[in-house]
Amino acid sequence: MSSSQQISIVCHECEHEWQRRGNTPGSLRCPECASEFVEIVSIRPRHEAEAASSRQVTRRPTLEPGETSPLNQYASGANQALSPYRPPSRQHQEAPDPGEMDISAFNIANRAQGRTGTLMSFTIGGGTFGGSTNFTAMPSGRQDHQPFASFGQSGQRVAADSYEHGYEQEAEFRHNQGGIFGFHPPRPNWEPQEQPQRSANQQPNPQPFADPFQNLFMHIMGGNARTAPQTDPNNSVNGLLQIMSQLLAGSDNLRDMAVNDEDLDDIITHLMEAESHGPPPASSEDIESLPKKALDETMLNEDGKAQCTICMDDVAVGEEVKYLYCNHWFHEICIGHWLQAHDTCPHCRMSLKESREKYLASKTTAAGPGTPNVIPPTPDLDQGRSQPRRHSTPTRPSSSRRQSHSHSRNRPAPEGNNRFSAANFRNLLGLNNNSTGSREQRN
Amino acid sequence: MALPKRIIKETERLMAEPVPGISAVPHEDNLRYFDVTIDGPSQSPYEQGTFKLELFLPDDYPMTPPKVRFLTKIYHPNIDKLGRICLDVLKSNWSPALQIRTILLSIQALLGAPNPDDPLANDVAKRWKEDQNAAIQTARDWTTQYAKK
Repeated sequence: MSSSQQISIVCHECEHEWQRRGNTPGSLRCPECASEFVEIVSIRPRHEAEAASSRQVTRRPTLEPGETSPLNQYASGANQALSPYRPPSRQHQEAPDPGEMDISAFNIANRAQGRTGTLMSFTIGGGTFGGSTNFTAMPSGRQDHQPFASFGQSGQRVAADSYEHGYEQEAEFRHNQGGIFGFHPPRPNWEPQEQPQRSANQQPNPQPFADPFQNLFMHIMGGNARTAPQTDPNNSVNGLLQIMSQLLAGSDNLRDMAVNDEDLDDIITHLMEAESHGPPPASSEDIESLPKKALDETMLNEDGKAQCTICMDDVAVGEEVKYLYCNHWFHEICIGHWLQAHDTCPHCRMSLKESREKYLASKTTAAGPGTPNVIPPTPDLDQGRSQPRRHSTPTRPSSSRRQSHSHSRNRPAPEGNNRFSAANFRNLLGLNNNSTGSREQRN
Repeated sequence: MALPKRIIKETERLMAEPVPGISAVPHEDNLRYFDVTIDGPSQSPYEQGTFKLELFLPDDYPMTPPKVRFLTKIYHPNIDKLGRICLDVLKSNWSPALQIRTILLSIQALLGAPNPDDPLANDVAKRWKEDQNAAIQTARDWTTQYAKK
């Protein structure tokens, strides 16, 4: 955007609103009260601004295509901690100012600071009032007003702006939003606060399809939507909102509603992270029943040290550690934390159940129960995974595993690295015999 | 929140014994946030390229994996236009026995072994499958254009 813009700024301290041309750098400060709690409420190319002001003659009994919806301002303020709604006093300070009519376009630049916050309130508002879904994210003050109507208008406004500015992809997305929530406001009551002007607003909109963007939404909404609002806009809109609120009903977090590419990407990122939380937790009983053992010399690595791979702290000889049946050991607290989240050995990925069964099987087939001379379990990395791994990279299992194991000689390496000594294991077995015995009884 | 000893140890080791072709430097003001560079593996379309990434260790690291993202534009079926990486060890196959260095090695390995069958960037994966040579050439071009050393 170049200097051919008109920027409208509002001060949240004193409600003063002013315009300036171009992108003059420097701090934004209210000329009235010098507060910096100001907000750019709209930016629009000058030619549009001028066109809009020239066709504005009277003060908004209904919302004209080029006219400002103050919800845009509220919307831009929605990301701020304070109420996004204009304080009532503001109304009276708004003398009929021709320049003011220039505030029209949704502020694209504003998205940078409040990209999620901007339209979100509309979405929430629509969901709340159209579909009777109770959303906590709703600013409480809003319920006194009629955001539903305003909502529709602003949805349209924002989408229109995207359209105007050629943000095709975003426009497309927002058109959806606008189309769903606000393709046709029952009454363009764009003043959310109860004001004396309300009476003027209460006349029905004489030109339901005056706005080309409304027509666009009609188009997007399809044939049904095109005809219904003519007779009973409320029903049609409510129907749509009902659908939306049904869609939204399962959503804990209404911020999941995206308004632009960035938001959508955030959501995708979030979903990608949530998509694969890994294996389910181990039962606390299983975790509790894991054997403990004091660290001995045989468990030290080449450097004469032993380290818990989870916290990477050194473990001293004699310190008690927790053993998994795959023979990997960790600090009790460390492995406890992990197993409470995921039932896998951090090294070989076997679940507790798997490794226990494997261990018991190897014990019985090799030497019979109670005999110390058993073959150490040799956990197979692939058996530890029931699901195919995604993007298994050829070097990872070897190189990364080697990396993480390089310091711990005592840990039997799952990929057949035969560092694990029989003596070491026998030692361990003396302890495991007892605990598995009790477990066998339980099973 | 105090920085866990493990993070300090990992950072120290990354500095003292850096992995060839990989660097990870923590921000001074946020020791959980690393500026990472990974050299494209030889004999891959990313050869001769140096790719910038960001890596963040969440609060519950190492119980949850680090968050890693490419900052350099890259043409790869498992890396999308925002640099998000589709890699098992960054998701469901994370284990607290893995570390920053092992994760970065895995990412480097992913550059050497793209997997278009489990794509993140659908358009790239599609092209990779339909015309692998052309896709690889694009990857090379992008490397030259965006990841030049």
